Amino acid sequence: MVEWTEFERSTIQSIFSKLDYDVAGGKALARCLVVYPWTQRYFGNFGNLYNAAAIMGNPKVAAHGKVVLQGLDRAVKNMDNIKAAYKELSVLHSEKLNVDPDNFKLLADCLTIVVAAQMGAAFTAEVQAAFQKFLAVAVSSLCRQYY
Amino acid sequence: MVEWSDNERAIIADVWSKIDVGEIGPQTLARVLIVYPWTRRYFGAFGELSSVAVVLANRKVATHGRVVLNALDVAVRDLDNIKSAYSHLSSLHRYQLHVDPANFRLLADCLTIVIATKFGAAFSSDVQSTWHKFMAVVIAALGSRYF
Repeated sequence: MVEWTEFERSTIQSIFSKLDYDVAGGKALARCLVVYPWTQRYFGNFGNLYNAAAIMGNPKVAAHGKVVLQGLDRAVKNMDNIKAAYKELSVLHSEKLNVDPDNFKLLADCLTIVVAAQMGAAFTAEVQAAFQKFLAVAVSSLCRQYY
Repeated sequence: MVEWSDNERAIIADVWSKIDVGEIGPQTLARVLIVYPWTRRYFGAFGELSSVAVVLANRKVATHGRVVLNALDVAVRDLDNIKSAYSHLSSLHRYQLHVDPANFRLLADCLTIVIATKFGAAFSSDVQSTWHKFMAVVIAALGSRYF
């Protein structure tokens, strides 16, 4: 089981409490679609994804980004058992959505950059370490049911 | 050969012009040593690296961070020939320093995060895309003599 220090717990809670779930998830997902364009193949029915401006302004991307971030919220609220909390989500992504698990890391990286840009200097090395550990656990839990 | 659009060239030059190597270099290397602690094995001669505070205060880390980031200047000034420009550096890392090339990506990730914290919203998805491409080319060039 994953061990969390007090600092890590409070850092994760603090970061997520300051995120606007209506906006941050959409931003991270949009960045993913822009920076790693092959990920667009998962969103064939999202309409216009032809360029960065279109992606950043696409309402379906924004809405789905919010869904994804709410999924992460489940991990935030269940830090001591993310693996169990994500069992169904993992099955969903592997069996139904057929998402290549490499993509979880790409989205995690984009979310890290969104948070870093928002927090500026407050995103210190220690905060970065805690946040990346949390995302690594979330990603690992999402991958669990693939094999 | 890598193709760079005029826009990409302008973005890279612009980002680089706003980076203070003396400030960003130390921060970047410190983050690598903090967030990915196994990298400390490369710096046995740097003295104390056992805690976050100590890494951040370590002068050898700061000096070496500047050395590493200064070397990026070579790539910025010669975007069309990064592979040949880094040929010697690649051999150095492979044959003398014995650095696992996976670490180049860790450093690039930390540099990207530091830039995001400094630039905030100005680190748009277009800028992130371009910078990510530049980092990927640098990483590939540094790894080119390994196999």
